[in-house]
Amino acid sequence: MTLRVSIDPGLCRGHQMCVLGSPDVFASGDNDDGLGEVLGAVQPQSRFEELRRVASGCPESAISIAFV
Amino acid sequence: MVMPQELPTARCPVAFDHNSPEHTARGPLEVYRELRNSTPVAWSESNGGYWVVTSYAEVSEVLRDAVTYTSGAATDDAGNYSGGIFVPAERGLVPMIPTEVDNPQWEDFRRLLAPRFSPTAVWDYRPMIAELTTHYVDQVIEAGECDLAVDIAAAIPASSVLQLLGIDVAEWATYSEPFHNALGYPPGSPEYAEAVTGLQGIVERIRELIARRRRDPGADLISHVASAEIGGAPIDDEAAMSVVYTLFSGGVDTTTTLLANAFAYLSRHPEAREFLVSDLSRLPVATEEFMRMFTPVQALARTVRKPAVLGGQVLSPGERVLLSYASANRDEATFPRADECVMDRMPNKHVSWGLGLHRCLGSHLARTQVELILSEVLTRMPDFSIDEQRSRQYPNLGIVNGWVTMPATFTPGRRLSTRGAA
Ligand code: HEM
Ligand code: SF4
Repeated sequence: MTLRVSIDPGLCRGHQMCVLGSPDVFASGDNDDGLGEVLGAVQPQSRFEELRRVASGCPESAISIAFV
Repeated sequence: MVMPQELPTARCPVAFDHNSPEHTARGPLEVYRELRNSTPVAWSESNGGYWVVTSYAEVSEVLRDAVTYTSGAATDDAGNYSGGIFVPAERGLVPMIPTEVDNPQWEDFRRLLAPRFSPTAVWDYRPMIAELTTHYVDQVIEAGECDLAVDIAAAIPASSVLQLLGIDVAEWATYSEPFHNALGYPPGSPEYAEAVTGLQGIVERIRELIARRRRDPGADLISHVASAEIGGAPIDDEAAMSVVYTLFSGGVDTTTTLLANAFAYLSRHPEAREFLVSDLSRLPVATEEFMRMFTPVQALARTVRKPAVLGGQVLSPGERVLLSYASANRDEATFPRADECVMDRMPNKHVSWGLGLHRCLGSHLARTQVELILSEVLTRMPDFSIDEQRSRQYPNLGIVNGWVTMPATFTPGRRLSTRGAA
């Protein structure tokens, strides 16, 4: 099983806490609002704890992590 | 689901007034802690009656629902101001845009400004901000003493905003002082009255600048706003004035407050200072923790638009709601060790930039300012020590957690730039 990481663009407001948390997975997108962008949507299961923490730190609850 | 009519409507008012001298004297964090632990959504009879929300969950619920809770402001025929982001409404002296407009108009104004405040745009401002930072540090570096709140924390952010607006940076104090005093002194005080007159003067100057830039546009932000189209028609004069006024008010007091509090904290905590000095790449994460701990904008308001239930209380249309960002940021249910400044705290979902629709437009700019200014200070005057006896916070901490003065000493150094005095 792997993890699939996504940001809901309707909820994201560009706080960029995800970029500070896991800079190899999230980046500041090239858009006016500084909305987050997922660089690596597919991640190994071993990063679940780390990514769950980053997702829980999104002030807009915009990040989802799914097992696929 | 619980229907509104099944909930108790009797209100047991709490004694609370964020504009009162008692609030500041007791310490806002203490006042908020008590409320948060007893009545996180409480009714106060002060200021014409208003709700005060102190828990993280409920503050974020309100901020993320701009349909039920509006930021909109209106002025009636008699010139009375209602709604908006302040309690009482009269504290809002000039309607703010985009802060105090709702959709559909909000979207147009935010789209107008966002390209000038995006991470990419701000990247291009870095050399300008770095140069101003070096310049203002140069002004004090040989003396070995300065007022950190004024000469550094106030001067540099205000000057960089003036530079973006296309105004001579040497005028920074003229523009920023009335904003500091209007927020830092209680209504009724002579300083407040003077600040209101000062703000009226700024409004007049902004009107003149807009008229001038309409005739003779440049690359600056005022020209950008003055030549905008909103809803397919040229922006009207009053709206353009409000937008520029909002950029001043967002830009001159907030970053300043964050910096001053960071200076005080670092002066008092050598281990935290050493943590940063030994690795300046820790600044961005630490800055977010300073934002949480010191919450520059302590509390702002909304107006209930539709009947709502919040934290078990029934809220009716027209009622005002004060959201304490400062209190949400100390909520133990969300932040472990909430009262400790954990320099590498991650995750950190503080609400100091606001949340949802009106979330701070200037956050990318402010983060860059803070990063450049703190790294220059920690590099060129790393042993600064503030004079605790003479340092003073705002007499009114209800809205902005600011400092009036913060005299400090440090080992003198050499000037770096050859640019003349401003
Ligand atoms: C540390 C510095 C700053 C803090 C703590 C801060 C805080 C905030 C907060 C809490 C809000 C939300 C207001 C609400 O919910 O009603 C906000 C909105 C806003 N801020 Fe900032 N701000 C900072 C820096 C700046 C700067 C440098 C600028 C621009 C020069 C700026 C411009 C704005 C604008 C225009 C809005 C309104 C956004 C909208 O309604 O869409 N801010 N800010
Ligand atoms: S932390 Fe959340 S709101 Fe912020 S950029 Fe990342 S996804 Fe968007």
